[in-house]
Amino acid sequence: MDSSFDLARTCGAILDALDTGIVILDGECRVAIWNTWMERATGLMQVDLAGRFLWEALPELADSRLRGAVGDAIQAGASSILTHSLHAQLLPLRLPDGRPLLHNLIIRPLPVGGAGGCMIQVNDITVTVTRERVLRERRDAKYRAVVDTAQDAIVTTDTAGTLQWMNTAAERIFDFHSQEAIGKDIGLLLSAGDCAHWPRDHDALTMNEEAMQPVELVGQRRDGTPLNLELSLASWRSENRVFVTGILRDVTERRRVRDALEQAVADKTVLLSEINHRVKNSLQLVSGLLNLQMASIEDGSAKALLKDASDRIAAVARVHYRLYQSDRFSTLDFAAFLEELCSDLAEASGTTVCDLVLEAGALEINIDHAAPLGLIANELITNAIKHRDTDPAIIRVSLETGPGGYALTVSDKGPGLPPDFNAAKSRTLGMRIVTALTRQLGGKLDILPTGKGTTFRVTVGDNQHDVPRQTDVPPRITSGENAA
Amino acid sequence: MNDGIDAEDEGGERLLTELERDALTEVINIGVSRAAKNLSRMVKDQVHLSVPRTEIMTRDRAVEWLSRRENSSLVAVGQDFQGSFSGQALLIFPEKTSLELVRSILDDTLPLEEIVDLEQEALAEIGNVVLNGCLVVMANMLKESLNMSLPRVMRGSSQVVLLGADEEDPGEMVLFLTIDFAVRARSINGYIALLMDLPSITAIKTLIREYVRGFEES
Repeated sequence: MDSSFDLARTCGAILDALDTGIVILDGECRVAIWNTWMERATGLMQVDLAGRFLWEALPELADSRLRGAVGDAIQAGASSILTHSLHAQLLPLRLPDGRPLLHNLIIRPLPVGGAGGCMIQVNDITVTVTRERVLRERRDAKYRAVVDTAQDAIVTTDTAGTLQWMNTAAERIFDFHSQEAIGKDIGLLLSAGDCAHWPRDHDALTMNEEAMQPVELVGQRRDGTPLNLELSLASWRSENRVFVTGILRDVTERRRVRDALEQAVADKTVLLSEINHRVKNSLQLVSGLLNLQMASIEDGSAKALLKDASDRIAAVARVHYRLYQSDRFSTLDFAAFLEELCSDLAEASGTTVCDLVLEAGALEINIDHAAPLGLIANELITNAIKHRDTDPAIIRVSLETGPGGYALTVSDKGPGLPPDFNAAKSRTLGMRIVTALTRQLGGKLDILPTGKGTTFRVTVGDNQHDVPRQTDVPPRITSGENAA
Repeated sequence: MNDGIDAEDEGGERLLTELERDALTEVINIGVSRAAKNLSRMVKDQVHLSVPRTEIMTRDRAVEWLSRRENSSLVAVGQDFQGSFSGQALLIFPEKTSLELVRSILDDTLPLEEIVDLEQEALAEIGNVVLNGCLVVMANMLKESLNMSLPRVMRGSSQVVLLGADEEDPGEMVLFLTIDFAVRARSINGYIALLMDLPSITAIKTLIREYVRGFEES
């Protein structure tokens, strides 16, 4: 008997020594034990509570989940936990300094005196909760400073595409409060067509570098206004779970500027094309006027001079024609130009008169060089046709390009030049045009030795045709005799 | 559970007749609605829980069936029960929806990180409420007393969740129920599994038969 008495006393002493709250209720929910820890935390004494119904002593618990859990334990033998996370301040517990004591409850069935009963264990988790909060705040401080001040929307979803979080900028850009948006699908913020850009399920788990490249897409505000956005994605892991975070930059303004720029370029293209067209038309008109005038002139030599002038103007007109035929305005496809020029000149002089062979490699020529070189080609070919001694005149035109520049060669099988011929000193207009324009191009005019006929070669160095150069200087052709 | 589980193949039909299974589904539904009442009080909003159907199958079969249906990782809250029928009760969710469930039960305004921190604890309690609801009502209706342990949270594949550490006892049967949570305009699907050995199933069968007879006589 003595030993069992001692055991009961020892048990009571242990309960009071425990650093946890212990309440034992009998089968009728009357307080059997209320340990010292509970007395300290509630200010209620065991002597006052013993034998009283718990709900009577603490009436605020009468309708709580604790009562249900106690009932389940006593009547059905069920154990329960009541956590701080789902029930803030379940019992009126205070720390010595008066702050609320945060706690979890464990309720287990416990036979008391042969009948059913239960034990309520109260665990103080104030320190744990506070420490977690402090750690979290410390961990999040820097991160918050970045995301909350960011100008771009930042949103996070789980792998199912359900919104978990959004920053202040996202709230502003999409006009949603985060509380409304969280828990909804990401489709809330994206247009139906672009929703697929957001990775889900398997895609979210296996995101690679390529998937993280920024893409442009269309999002929508609360009122349905479309937003042009650039989306950059990243996936990350927390507690063994994968989340997807996207940074959505509002590129509406950038897009507007880009569209405006593209439009301006398109307008300019049309304008340049139009200008070249008009210049060509005007030059053709001038050339046509000269032809008209030619028809009314009896003098054969004057007629020939007008014909030459008209052809020269037509050659320049052709340069402008080629310029608006292509969509490049700063360079000219000179091979195509030569082909046209040759076929027109051959046609104009008649196939029986002229046998023209063109060998031209591809050459894109700077627009500054286009008109002078076009005129040079026109003069040299026309000259060869004019000074033929056989019918048909056999003329070879070649255009060679190399790393150092390009060369235009025109050769014929005509009578050849007089032995004392000096191109620089020639007084014919044709030769003066060729020498002056070659000089303007920074090129060199050579007369190559040939068995029969004449070969002119114009060589232009690379630096000359690569570097676009604005020339305001018109070709200076010193006036002299009007000899062709 | 309408996608063709062949309970007949597993001898489920022989274990429980259609009538007995319906009676058991009804008992569990009463338990679940009791749990819903408790959850509603905690959430201060309507929570609807319903168990559309009950199936019975072997544990191996249950593992296979669940892994076919949920290919992501699972979270389960488990409680042991002992009495005239003994075993383990599990509330199972796909891991990705468990966070949604906790979020819908907890204060919606809490930030994500905080919810992740509280998730484990909150899940344990939610599972505790639901499973106690089922078990207590089963015990009460069948006029039996059970001893139920505290809840524990497990994560992993259906294998890990359903078989746990012990892979013996192939004869153990699983009473499998789908459960639908409707909370604050969200609908979340999960499963309740009651794992019991054959003697326990037989005991339950006897109890249910008595329960049904009680109805027929009254």
